[in-house]
Amino acid sequence: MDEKIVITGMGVIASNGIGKKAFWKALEQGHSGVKEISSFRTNGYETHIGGEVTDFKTDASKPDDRAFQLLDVALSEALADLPAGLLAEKDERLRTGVALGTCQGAILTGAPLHRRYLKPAGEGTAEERAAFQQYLPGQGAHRVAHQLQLGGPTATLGMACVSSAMSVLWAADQLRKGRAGRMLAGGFEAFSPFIFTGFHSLLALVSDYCRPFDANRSGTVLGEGAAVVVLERESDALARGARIYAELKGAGYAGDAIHLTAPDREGGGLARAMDMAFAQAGIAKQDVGYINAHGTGTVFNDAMECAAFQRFFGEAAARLPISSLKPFFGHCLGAVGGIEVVASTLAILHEFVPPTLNHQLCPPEYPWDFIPNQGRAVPGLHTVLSTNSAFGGNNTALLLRRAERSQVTPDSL
Amino acid sequence: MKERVAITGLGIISPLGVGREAFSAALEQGALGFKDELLAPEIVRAVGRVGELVPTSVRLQSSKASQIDVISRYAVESCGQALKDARLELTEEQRDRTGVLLGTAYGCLESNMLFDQYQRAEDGRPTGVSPLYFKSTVSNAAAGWVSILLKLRGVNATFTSGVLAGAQAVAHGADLIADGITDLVLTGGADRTLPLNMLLETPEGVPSSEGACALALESMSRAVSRGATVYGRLRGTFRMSLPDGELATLTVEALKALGTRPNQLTTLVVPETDPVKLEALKASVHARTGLELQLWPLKQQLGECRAAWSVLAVAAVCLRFAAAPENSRGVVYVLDTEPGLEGVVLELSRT
Repeated sequence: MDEKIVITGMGVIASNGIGKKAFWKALEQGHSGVKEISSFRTNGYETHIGGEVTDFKTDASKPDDRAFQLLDVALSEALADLPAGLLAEKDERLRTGVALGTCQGAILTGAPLHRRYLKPAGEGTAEERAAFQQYLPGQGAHRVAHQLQLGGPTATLGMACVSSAMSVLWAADQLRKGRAGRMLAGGFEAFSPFIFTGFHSLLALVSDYCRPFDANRSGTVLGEGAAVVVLERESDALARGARIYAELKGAGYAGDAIHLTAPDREGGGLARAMDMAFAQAGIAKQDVGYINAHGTGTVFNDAMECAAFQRFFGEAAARLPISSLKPFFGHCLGAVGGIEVVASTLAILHEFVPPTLNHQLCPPEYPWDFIPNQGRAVPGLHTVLSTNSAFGGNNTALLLRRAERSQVTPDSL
Repeated sequence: MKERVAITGLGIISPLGVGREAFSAALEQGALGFKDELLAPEIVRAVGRVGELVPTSVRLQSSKASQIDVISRYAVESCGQALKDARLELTEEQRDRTGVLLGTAYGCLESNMLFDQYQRAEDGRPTGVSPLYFKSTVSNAAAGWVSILLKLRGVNATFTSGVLAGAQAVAHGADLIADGITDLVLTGGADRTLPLNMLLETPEGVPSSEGACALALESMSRAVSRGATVYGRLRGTFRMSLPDGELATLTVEALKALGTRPNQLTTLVVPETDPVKLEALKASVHARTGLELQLWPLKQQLGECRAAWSVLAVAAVCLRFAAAPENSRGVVYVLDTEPGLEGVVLELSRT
């Protein structure tokens, strides 16, 4: 089944905006959500900043982990793009599946169990069992499937920072093969002391500003959030009169096979992922009008990405508008690929590319167009490449394209 | 054109034995892979253990082996065995088209626990933190290590969907081979059993177990042309929503969807262990299809090894195929379920 796969719903929550309208406004106006960390004390750490969604308070009256509550916000917004009552129909629910990515899922709920169960004192309490149930890696997708009584394929991709990009890829695959009629895909991640402490121990966090693709970049900043997109075959979407945000034209993934936490300095894995995405999309490299890069702001990640873009696009890489959005919302790990799919799609709809904040000086070896500090209009922008890379040596490349029919208009968002 | 999918290599890490021969012998002898263990004061449970395995199928300095978390060692050893078993000398170009797809229900749970064992951050000071443990606190560490140590640079993915994660990885791998997207995949599942999951999740009475299994998948045409040993053919995969976990319904629907001729289906490898429920399943399938099927309740020997189970079941079937006449045409279904959610069938035949 060689059908176009389209995005017909989107929801997002990140530190720079809750909901796609606020999220886009922040991207357009250059407003970052990164600020001093408030959910736990950081006085003994070298860094104190993060992209926490401070406008969203965890509802303590609910048993759900904050990660799931963030997911629920994005999910509700994405589902609101479907006609009211659509998922009330059993047949529609049975043909709808869910694929989500997360790095640590309900770690805020699960972490207290760690030390207690290295040498357990006895049988677990009911409270501990409930906590562990939430903490299971697959629980996010299972929970959505149960809540909505979905009957389609259900999967969780646990692949660190490419988790949600990979879930979008896998979900699209289920549609192409006719195994589902609709897929909800994306990812979620909560800001946690566990992850923050880990990245801190790797000396990967910056203490002042995250400066992707800058000559003086020195580290990343962590964040939290969630994003969910609704994917359908174009024919199904048109048949029900859906508005289409964009087409997911192609997707690819590949491993570096070099090092568990350091990227391939030659960008081999990302280049292979892009090869696969373009092969599936059947479009030319010059069609790409903007690259929404992973751009964590670490020395090695950004150098790897530039090497991969140079390897893949050749000299044209220097002329392509490339930006990283991490300074806007922080690195949201398992959620970030999904959040960036939403950003890339909105960039196409608005014909506007958001900037790389905090960018002052290009690396001498890559004097490229990193869209420093100020976004810009790109009239006619129709194709965006979104890339992500992760611990484990994983890389993903997603190609998003302007919808040819029934396109959402920016003012209707 | 869709390619037929051949299984040309097996890698097995199980409480019944490590490696094809040991596993096969233990299966045939009806051995049990678990024994009683003291989990906590006054709590004794049957547990299937592999323990802290050191990989031997890949060249690995002992200093490096100690940096690798245990579940990754299982994955590395099972994939290393499967690649060796497939008798392939990969060129650099072929390494770019060889993928690693793994599934794990618990993922990096053990590394998360170890990372947290000394670190204290509640007072705002990160002390006792080990970056060595932190790098393994991602569920894709195992697939990452496999790709690094076996130098496999193709597609790479990790499913963490629960019990079905291993079957999902295998199904995804089969898709990639059938569609000609990649030439070879090492695919399977791995899981550890820890006091945390035994005491907080596993129902009492079901032995909690651990292990890993990897399959080398390639197209039948490629396997035949290079003279590979074909253990079996992965004919198809099927999944359905299965909130009630009804294995008879799963079987009947799979028969329809996969187009298996009823008289070809001989055996169901099932996750059920309760003799009464097994009898009821057999009777229900017979009533609905007229088929007298053999049931193979493999968990009775292996225990509950989550995402590794269905892949170990595929390996067990392949080893039985190897002992059967080459022209045998019987089809076997490996059934697995995520409780309360869905069911998966992996359809296998000798050729």
